Amino acid sequence: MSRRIAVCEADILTPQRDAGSRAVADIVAALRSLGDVVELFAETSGRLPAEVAEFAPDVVIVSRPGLFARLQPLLAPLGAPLVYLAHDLHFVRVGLQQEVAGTATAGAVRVLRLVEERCFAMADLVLLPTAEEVARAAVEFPGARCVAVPYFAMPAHPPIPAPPPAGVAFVGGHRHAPNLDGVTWFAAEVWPPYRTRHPEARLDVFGDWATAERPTAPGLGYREGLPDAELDAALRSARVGIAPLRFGAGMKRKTLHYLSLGLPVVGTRFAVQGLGDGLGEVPGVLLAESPEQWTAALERLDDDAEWQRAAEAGRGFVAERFSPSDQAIALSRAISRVH
Amino acid sequence: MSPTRLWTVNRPSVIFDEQAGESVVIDLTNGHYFRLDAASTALWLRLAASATVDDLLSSVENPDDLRAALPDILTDLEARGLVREAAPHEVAVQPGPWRFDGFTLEEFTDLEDVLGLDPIHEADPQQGWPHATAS
Repeated sequence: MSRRIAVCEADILTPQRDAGSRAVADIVAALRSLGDVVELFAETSGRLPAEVAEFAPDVVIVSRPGLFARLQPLLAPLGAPLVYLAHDLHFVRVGLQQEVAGTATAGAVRVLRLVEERCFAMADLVLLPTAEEVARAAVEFPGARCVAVPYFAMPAHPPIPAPPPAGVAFVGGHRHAPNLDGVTWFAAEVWPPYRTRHPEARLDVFGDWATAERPTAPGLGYREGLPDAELDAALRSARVGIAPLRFGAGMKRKTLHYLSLGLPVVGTRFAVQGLGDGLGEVPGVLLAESPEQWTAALERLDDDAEWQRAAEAGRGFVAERFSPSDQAIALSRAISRVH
Repeated sequence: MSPTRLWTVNRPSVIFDEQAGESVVIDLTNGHYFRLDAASTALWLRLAASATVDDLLSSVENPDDLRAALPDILTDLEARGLVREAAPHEVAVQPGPWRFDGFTLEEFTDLEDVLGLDPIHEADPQQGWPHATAS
């Protein structure tokens, strides 16, 4: 029997601009694929609680901590179980940002933890993207009912011949602090020495980047607003996808996206967070932290045989672990805990 | 300002936490947060328990100082949406006698994007939400 599920967001979904919106869109699609009746509601309508009440949901899913904290008192009287779509542990991510980049404050970490503590306490169920975060939540917020479900799923694409070695790609917008920090760091520390050795190399950054936030360097360009098909085609013409993330939490969609397209990845340990078996290794991903390690990993993928091995391993990994049907089943099982 | 109007913290959109005498106050409607020092926290905790101006003046050691400052403080807090008129059932036990040593709100907006409304995106006029306008 199909369930009526209300999904609440702060505003319209912008899946081409942020991974959070993409996750919500994927989750809605997954639940609909199983026959659930799913409707999206936006806080910006000005009458979200009334609209949700008119929909008469069996379950209400609320995305993001600020929105959940605001809406919980207004939606709880409806009597439907409230599910908190956490996306990640924000206070952990911002705490790492404070430590690594110094661009966040202890006050911000404290505030996020307070808000998230409230969300975890008030939710009937919390959906987190990784088992690691469920374990952390059990320590930080004992008593909360948490379950890990894949936030992202994607089909593995057919294999392609190895593109020429010059192209490096990054997907992600500047509003997400790990992206801004990562690209800024990569452009300053990794790219100049690498490009000295490979003057033909180019780095394309795909996503929403305000001009003032864009690091500049020879061979570095920005492309935004591409429809999904054009973005995929552009990525498949690159040799390698990068995820130079120096902090983070949750599941990295960009890494999965690269791998699904048959694009080998070079990334930090945060690039594979929540994707593997907790051992820090993911097929198709070469790990690198220092600029020297980055250069070595990028050059390793210049070898066609190495590239083919990495591309195939990554595609196989995504097909095995992150198929849309598996995501739908995991989500359905999770929500069946409350309805 | 009515001396008998019952004030309280604007729950549920405002939450706060007090540690070691200092507080952080969070406005969930916009993601702004405020740091209150120990002196400011003394007044805030009394408002959180719901209090009239008369209640506050009768419990403070230096009522003349408080009487002079309180109208501006309450006007500012209400304008920010941090306090509102309380319902009778919201009255809690007031902390004991106290001293008014000033009230300062230190405001932070760095979590506006994380906790407040997402940046406004225009919906497609034909398809409506959740479809963004083609860019």
